[in-house]
Amino acid sequence: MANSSRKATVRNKEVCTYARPSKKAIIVKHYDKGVQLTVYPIIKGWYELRPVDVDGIMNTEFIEESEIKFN
Amino acid sequence: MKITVAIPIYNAERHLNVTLDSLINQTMDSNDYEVICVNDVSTDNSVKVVETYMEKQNNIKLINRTENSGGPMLPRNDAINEAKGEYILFLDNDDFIGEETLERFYKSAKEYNSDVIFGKYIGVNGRVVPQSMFKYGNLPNAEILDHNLVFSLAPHKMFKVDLIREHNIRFHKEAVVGEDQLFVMQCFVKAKVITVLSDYEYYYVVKRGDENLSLKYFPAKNFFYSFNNIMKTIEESDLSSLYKTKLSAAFLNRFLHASRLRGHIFSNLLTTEQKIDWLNETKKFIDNHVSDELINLLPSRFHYFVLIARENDLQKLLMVHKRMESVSPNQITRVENGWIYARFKNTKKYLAYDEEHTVNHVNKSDVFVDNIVLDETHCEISGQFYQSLLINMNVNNELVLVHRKSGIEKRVVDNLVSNSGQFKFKFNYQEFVIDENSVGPWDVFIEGTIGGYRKRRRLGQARRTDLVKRVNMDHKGILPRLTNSTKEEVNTEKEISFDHVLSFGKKYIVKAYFTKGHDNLSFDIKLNK
Repeated sequence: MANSSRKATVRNKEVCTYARPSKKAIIVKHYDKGVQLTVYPIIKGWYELRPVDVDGIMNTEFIEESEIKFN
Repeated sequence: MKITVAIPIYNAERHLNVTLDSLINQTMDSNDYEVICVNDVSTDNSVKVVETYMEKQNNIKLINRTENSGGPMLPRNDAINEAKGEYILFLDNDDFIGEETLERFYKSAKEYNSDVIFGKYIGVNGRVVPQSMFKYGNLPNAEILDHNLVFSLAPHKMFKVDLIREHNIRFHKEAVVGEDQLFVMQCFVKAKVITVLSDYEYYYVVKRGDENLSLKYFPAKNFFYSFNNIMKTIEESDLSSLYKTKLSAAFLNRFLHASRLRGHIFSNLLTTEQKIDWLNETKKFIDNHVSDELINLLPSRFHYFVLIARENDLQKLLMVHKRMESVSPNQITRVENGWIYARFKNTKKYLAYDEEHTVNHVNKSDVFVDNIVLDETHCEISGQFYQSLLINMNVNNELVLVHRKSGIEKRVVDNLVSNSGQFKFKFNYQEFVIDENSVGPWDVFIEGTIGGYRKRRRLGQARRTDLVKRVNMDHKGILPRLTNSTKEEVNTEKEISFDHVLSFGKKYIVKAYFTKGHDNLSFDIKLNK
């Protein structure tokens, strides 16, 4: 169910998100422990965040499953 | 050079870095592949982004077109002409690939001598991507019809460059819609080996939110360019005549299902004049490519559209389409060769017709189990099976037991009640427990047939909720409500098993249960050793 969103909380300090589901990819953002995110399943071990820019264009952002816990 | 990756680029500075980043992180040695970026006169900083990556890795090339071509077709052709790779992979400037994609594609392509190879697509940001061809596992030599490849005609695939050049296959500038479908279908038809891989996340198709192509208006003639040529490609191919017919029908089904044609004609997006233009072109397309034999291979929901479009009668088409939503059993005239026909009649001064159309697609069904009685040798099942358009027809209901592993079907034909819409079947377990090949699960269906038309429904989920109470009341051994079917999770107190069912001198265990999830009735057969 790739379209079913889930609420999650960042587990650790300074967690990176990436522009592709890979730790070799361009880093998009850093999140602090406790930040609440809405995530969507994408591939094994990774979730996507589906960020939308102010002009409505969507970027790509992925976070490792191990870096979040579900509420 | 093993692979050329071709990227048509137009005003992609915002996301192109992600695309190129996925290419410089490939597990394949960078000497084994090249990346050809074809800039279609971008007005933003796309070229700068490419140049930044060219400094990082020396296998990236940039072609600057001098005149904007208006789409990705001609840039892709430029890349084909320049390609040094044995294979060429088309990647869009919004998308990216998995880091092992090139290595895995090439390894499999060499192993299977593939002419076309593609792998599992992942839709990003909620983008919908085709999935049905990936459910079979890896397919070294996939079959266009058997594996549903007509539903994957996007160009995000890897093609043998020799195949493209030998047959002079190119993207057509005139093909403003479906240009990729024409190219891919031409390659599919010519390919000896098409490989489909589902063991890795190969290609990420990204939704950016600005995919507004579907809102643009194209003159109908432009719209049909690709689809006319796809049908022509199939018709003029060396394929056998039977295969051509099947492939044409499969493509036509996809075209009518997924293209904007019907939406344009039935919605309010177009003016009447535009709709007339579209119907004119549709008529030409049908006259040129859609025979009666082909229509018969399409689902009924497309029949009236094709038949009335062939008459080029917009008013009638719109009226029949509207009335299709409210067909009643009173309109049904006959059921023949698998088609349910309904009469559509209109006698107004400006629009008069009286004709039959097929309506299988609006026939709904409902099924309910009133009772299930089991003993040591027999099972008896009774209930109701209703088909919305066939209440006045003499539908013959049969119980069908299907062996899940082999697909073998055992039919129980004697319906013990003659009332329309009701059924009661009684069968001996020996009718389907025959030998050791019978072991495993058997699923229970009801099937109504009339004039070659069949409607099959699974039995069990919709059933009386007081079956358990009735067991207690009359002690007849009525099947209790069971909750699941897997061996590990079966609550043995709630299932019914008969341990001494004899067939040809051997003893079998017959267990009746409701399946986990769908909660339907099945039998599980085991040899009783």
